[in-house]
Amino acid sequence: MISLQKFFGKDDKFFDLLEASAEEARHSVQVLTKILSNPGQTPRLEDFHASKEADKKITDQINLAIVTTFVSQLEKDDIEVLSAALYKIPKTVEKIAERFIISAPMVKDIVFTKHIALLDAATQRVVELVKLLRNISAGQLDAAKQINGKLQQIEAEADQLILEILKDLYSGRHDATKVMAMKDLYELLEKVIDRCRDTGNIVTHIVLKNS
Amino acid sequence: MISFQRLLGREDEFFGLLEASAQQACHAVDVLKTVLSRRELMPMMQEFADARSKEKRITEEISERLITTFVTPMEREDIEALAEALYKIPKIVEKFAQRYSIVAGQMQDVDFSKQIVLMERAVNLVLKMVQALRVGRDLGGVKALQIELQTAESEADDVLLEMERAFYQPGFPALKAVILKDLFSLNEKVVDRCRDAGNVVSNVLLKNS
Repeated sequence: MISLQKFFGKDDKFFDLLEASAEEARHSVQVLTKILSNPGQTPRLEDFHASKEADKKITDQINLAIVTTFVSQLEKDDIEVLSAALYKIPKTVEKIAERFIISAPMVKDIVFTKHIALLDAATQRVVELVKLLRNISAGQLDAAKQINGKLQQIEAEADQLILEILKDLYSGRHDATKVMAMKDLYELLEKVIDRCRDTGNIVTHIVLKNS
Repeated sequence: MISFQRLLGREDEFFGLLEASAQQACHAVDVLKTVLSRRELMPMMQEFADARSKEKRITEEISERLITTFVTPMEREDIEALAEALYKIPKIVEKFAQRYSIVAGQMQDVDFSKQIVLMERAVNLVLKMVQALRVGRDLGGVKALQIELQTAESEADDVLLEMERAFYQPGFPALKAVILKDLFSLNEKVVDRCRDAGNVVSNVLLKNS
């Protein structure tokens, strides 16, 4: 029997998939923050790779569902853009892990507390925003704008943080090779938060379009 | 009373906003030029931040109007893509200024003038291209401006290569090389962003010609 509800897309699986992707992005960041809390220990790249692959599978499922689903509450283009933005988070996290491993001797004494707090807060906001989409028809614009505002604030703090760090790195007190390696790593950490910010803007735009 | 003009779209408003956005990009490069030509001044960070904030507000306004306007002068996606491309210009200028401000003291002897000339040329070409959208139909004129813009971008690549050549000379201080590589690349990116915005304008006109 053909389910009309299924045919018309009312059992919208996209919400489940997008939420799973956001959770996976958050999970990859949680693995990263554990590593950052203990920089003396060299991370296993496999843990990050698994998280990125899991998110890639979800992204593939979303792309397949876009082609095979007749009607969805969200526009297909929006789903595609959002899913691509979410995937970029664990992808960048994996890149950080790669750099972290090769620069292990230089990072072992570095304190990443501020980054950990910002990464955690940013991915938490991303999950909250993606969850709003499920009830998009109930008018979520104010809630989306409020959470996105917090995300923008986190991103501004991350920008300020990297500037302070670069000021120290460029001061002449550090070895040039260390400056090069650390700058690379810090810029990638900032990029994860930028990716979260991009995702927040996309969700807010979708909510605005549907409000 | 329902205004049909409001319902059917306000072409002038979209063109006006896009032009204002391109003008903000020009203003950001102007401020940068002043800062780099008068090294005794510390970078006026607030001015860069203001230019970017204004541009951001314009981009948000365009985005909101695209949702509330029934008929737009060009496809919505194109307006959105152009607004985004224009916003990236002052954003990257501000990023350069922030990075420069933390090392200004160490960079007094560095000459950025060749890059500034190209940035100025590129943003002014972008402004002309955006203004050409309002007139429409002059695909030949816009194509000529796009070629000029691409020439500027290619020259910016050459200038960057030339400026980076010094880093590879024996004895060049390694830390200074790291800092300058960062700054020179950010400046080159300004011209890249202009080239991207120009490509969007050119594609839009081509689609609508």
